[in-house]
Amino acid sequence: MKLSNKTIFAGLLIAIFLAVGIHAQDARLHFEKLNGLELRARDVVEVNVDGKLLDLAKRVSTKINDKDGDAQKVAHAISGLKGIYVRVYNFANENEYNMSDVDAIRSQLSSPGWEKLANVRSKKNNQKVDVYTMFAGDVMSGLAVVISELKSVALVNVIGTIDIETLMELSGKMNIPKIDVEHDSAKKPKNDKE
Amino acid sequence: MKQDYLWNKTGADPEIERLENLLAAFRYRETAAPVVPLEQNIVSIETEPRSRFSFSLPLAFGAVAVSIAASVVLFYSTHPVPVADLTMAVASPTTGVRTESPVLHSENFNEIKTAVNDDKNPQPTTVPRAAPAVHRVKRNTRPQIFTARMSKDENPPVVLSKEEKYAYRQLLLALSITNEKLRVVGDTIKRTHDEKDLNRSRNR
Repeated sequence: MKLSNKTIFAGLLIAIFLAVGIHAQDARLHFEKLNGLELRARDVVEVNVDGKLLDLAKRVSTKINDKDGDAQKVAHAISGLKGIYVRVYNFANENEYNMSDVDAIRSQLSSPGWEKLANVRSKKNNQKVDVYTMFAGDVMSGLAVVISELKSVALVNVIGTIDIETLMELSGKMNIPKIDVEHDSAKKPKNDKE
Repeated sequence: MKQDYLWNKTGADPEIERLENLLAAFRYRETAAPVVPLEQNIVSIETEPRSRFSFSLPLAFGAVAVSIAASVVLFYSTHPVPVADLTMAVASPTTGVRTESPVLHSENFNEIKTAVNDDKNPQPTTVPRAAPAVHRVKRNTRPQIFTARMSKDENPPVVLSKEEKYAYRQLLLALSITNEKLRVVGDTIKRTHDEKDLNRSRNR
């Protein structure tokens, strides 16, 4: 079948857009495999901030006027942020979760686009720390942190640009709440995205 | 029905005749016009042309506007509007993960001055206003100007909706956890390097 020039051109354009779209979505990790951890964990913290929720939060951060301008610093630090996803699982006993579930998340970081920033293994608490970044040109487009210990697993996935230095500087300010999980809780409290 | 009888009463139409007999009591009887007694004075009234412009309605509106303006000026000159410094309450997640209220650590946290517009604890939100007013005490004296007292805090309070508060809290929570985990990464790297240095120094 002989294709016209227009058809070929349209097909090339579609292929380019698809490639860009796929590349843009690569920074998002898929946490579906962690459902098993959720069932066994004593405490679960799940936070998803993206889309309209993130836009709303950005608008709020620009509206707030505090004396020191910290809110404005936060607004500036997250101006390029497109999404932030957090999962924290705490277990009552050691080795209560399946390490293969966490390794499935780590395997996503071996796909093209992700660059290893830090890879630390410590015998203390059998701690494994992985930090990966993704760049689109000179601009960071993604950040992934995977921390697994004997009794806890933590994953952070940031999509877009985030000024980490400013955020570290503001840590402890801006009413950023401390997360203090009660150790004597008999229930399995869960902080879902809703 | 014969139309001739109905028209000029020629011929005979028993049905119409029956109806006429039934309604005979209401038949029209022509009488003379009533005579108006001369004792009653009938005065012809010449209607005056109505004036096109009336001052009554604009005067009423003007009076109402002046009274409203005067009452507003008087109110704000006698009741200075305070602006309360309110901290944004960060509600802990409802599912058992305890978050420490920023009020408890006020020495470490900067207070975000926002007005909480919560349905459960409705708090009035006020806005600082400067309302200069001219008030004449005496004819021969200079007018005295009264201004409402401004709040010390020049940053107006921000009113956030429930959705905005929730979104901002979620964002701050995510950023806080991210910060915490990045610190763990930093501490782990530092500890690992220290252990390596220690091992090297021991091997020497």
